[in-house]
Amino acid sequence: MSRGGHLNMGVAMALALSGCYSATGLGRARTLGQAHVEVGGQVELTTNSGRLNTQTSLPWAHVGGLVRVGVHDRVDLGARVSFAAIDGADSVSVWVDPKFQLVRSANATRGLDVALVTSVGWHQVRLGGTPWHLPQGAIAVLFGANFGPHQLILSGRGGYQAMIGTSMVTQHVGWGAVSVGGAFRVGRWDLVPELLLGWAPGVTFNAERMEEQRSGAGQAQIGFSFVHRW
Amino acid sequence: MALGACAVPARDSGGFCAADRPTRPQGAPSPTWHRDVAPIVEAFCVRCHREGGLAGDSFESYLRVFAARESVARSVRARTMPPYLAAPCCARYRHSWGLSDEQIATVLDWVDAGAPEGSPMDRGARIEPPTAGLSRRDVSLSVTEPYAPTPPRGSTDDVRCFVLDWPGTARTFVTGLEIESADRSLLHHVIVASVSGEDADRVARLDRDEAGAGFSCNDGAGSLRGVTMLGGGLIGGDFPEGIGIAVEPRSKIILNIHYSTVAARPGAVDRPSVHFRTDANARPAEPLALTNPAWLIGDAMRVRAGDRDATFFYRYRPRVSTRGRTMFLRSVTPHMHTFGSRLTVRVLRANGERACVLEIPRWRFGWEQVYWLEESIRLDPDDELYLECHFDNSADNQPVPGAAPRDFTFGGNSQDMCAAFLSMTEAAR
Ligand code: HEC
Repeated sequence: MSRGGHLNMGVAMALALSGCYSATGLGRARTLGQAHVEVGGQVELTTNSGRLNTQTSLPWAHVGGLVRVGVHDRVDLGARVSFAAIDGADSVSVWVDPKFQLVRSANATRGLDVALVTSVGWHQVRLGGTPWHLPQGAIAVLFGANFGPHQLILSGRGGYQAMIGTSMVTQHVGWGAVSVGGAFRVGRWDLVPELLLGWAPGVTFNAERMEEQRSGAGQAQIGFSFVHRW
Repeated sequence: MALGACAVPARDSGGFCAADRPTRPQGAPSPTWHRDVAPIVEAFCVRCHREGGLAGDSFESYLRVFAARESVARSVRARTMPPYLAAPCCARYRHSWGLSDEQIATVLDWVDAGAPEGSPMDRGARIEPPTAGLSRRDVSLSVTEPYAPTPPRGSTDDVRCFVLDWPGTARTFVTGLEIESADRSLLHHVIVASVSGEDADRVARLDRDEAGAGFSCNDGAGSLRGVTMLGGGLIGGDFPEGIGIAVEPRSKIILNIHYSTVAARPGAVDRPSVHFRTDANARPAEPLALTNPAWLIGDAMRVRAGDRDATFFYRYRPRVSTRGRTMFLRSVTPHMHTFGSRLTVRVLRANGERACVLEIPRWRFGWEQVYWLEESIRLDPDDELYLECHFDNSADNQPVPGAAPRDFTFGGNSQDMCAAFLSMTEAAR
């Protein structure tokens, strides 16, 4: 009984840290064009929600950097790195995100762009010593509506992650997410606020009582990235 | 920062210390019942092993113990009797009611020598039974309605949670507690906890919704968040050195009592009370839960059917709780269910040394308790806590005898857990 309290706190921590790798920061639904480069930074706040019986929905802040290079008019290569740390717990994640243009509006200031991002990533969480490794893959379809130099971005995503750690059976988690965001051009800068809502339906949590076993975990992320474009 | 962690944390190579049979000093005379064994049995066994006591067999005479000598030797050697599970080779605890290595050796040598009676004229000195007692009763709470333990079919165990109103109107500290039961022959073990906030209303509701005193805790009390463990075990007493555990106003006290009807008289009922010593200015103890949070997810802690020794361990540097301070461990409460077989908690120091906090060489469900360390154990900011649990999921160790083993994970009722709840203070003493 008393264990419930402590343990749920633990799950909240574990989730806040582990499920919640950085998923925002993919940028516009329009590839940069050959030889163009974007470099920038990113801040992201994550909370977990859903049916987890916890009082605490810890917001977890990641900060990171990202780079994108146009290797072809319709293909970008991108990479993101993000970190989170408090004294005694930290996480790091690395993504490689190639972006492929599926539909490209003839005019960059009007019409619709659609891009596909196939990300491969690795996320490591240390909650005080024992690290968990979370290799993962995700596919995102970005829809961008151009309004002059700005773009409204909607996305649908799906992904998979494994949770590997010492003295535990590897866990496999599938998740889906939708996001809404905007890319606002200011000079040579793109400012990109985003809201992403994700759901991992297959995750279960074990409680003292069977009927209280819960499944499904949600997460919400608010991201803000700023990239300089050459 | 995180990249330093590429080294895979390994299982600690330290073994369990309680593996060897303890021996007596060379040349000690062969023990007899009257001189050596009776004082041990009277002090450590007859509390439960007497007519109308908790245990079935009475050990109130030489002949009774002689008749049971083989099984006495077995359970004393295994340290499952008295059911004080912590091994003394690991650390010393306050109010210990376990046998010392020397006492164990005496009983074993006595049985090996044919369990001689010796002369009643040559009586050994009485050993003071391990009781503690509360130095003051500041708050006393009683269950008002008598409760008749009613184990589920096919079982002799009934775990009941009683809900009592905490009378305090300001935050205070519990600095000791003691259980009083109408019928000690029923009482297997007790855990006392306080619940505050929303959860106080939840347990009050559970209590109201079920007829009779309290509510059934046979599957655990559910996932309560605002719960603080105050104490447990059958021998109560003051906490050491003015340490207190905070209790908020408008809290509920949960008395989680494991009744055993093995030796109960027909129609036996209980009306338990709990007495507290309190102090508004006590030295607060901070809680620290030790378990791998990942085990709570899915089947991360899967124990295969038939596995006789499934082992899980977790290393944890608790800086989130210690916030960079050097702390001192004061108490430890291990937690496993019926599949648990062994458990150890250690401190792995940054310099490679290790300190044993608790070792349970043979876990027996139902004898969970709080162990208060005789001497606190230093925990420096970069030291790790280490938890290792063993589970026996073989056909011989099923909760329902004869049932076929099946896989289980971390969880409630027919599954198991691996956790330890520690308390710590900023000062060593
Ligand atoms: C706190 C109560 C308690 C104390 C103290 C205690 N016993 Fe027991 N004992 C029990 C109970 C209850 C059982 C019944 C089985 C069970 O629940 O483990 C038992 C069972 C036994 C058995 C049967 C085999 C077994 O292990 O189940 C033996 C032998 C035994 N006790 C010996 C002793 C000896 C010797 C001592 C003292 C050195 C002692 N006990 C002290 C409660 C106690």
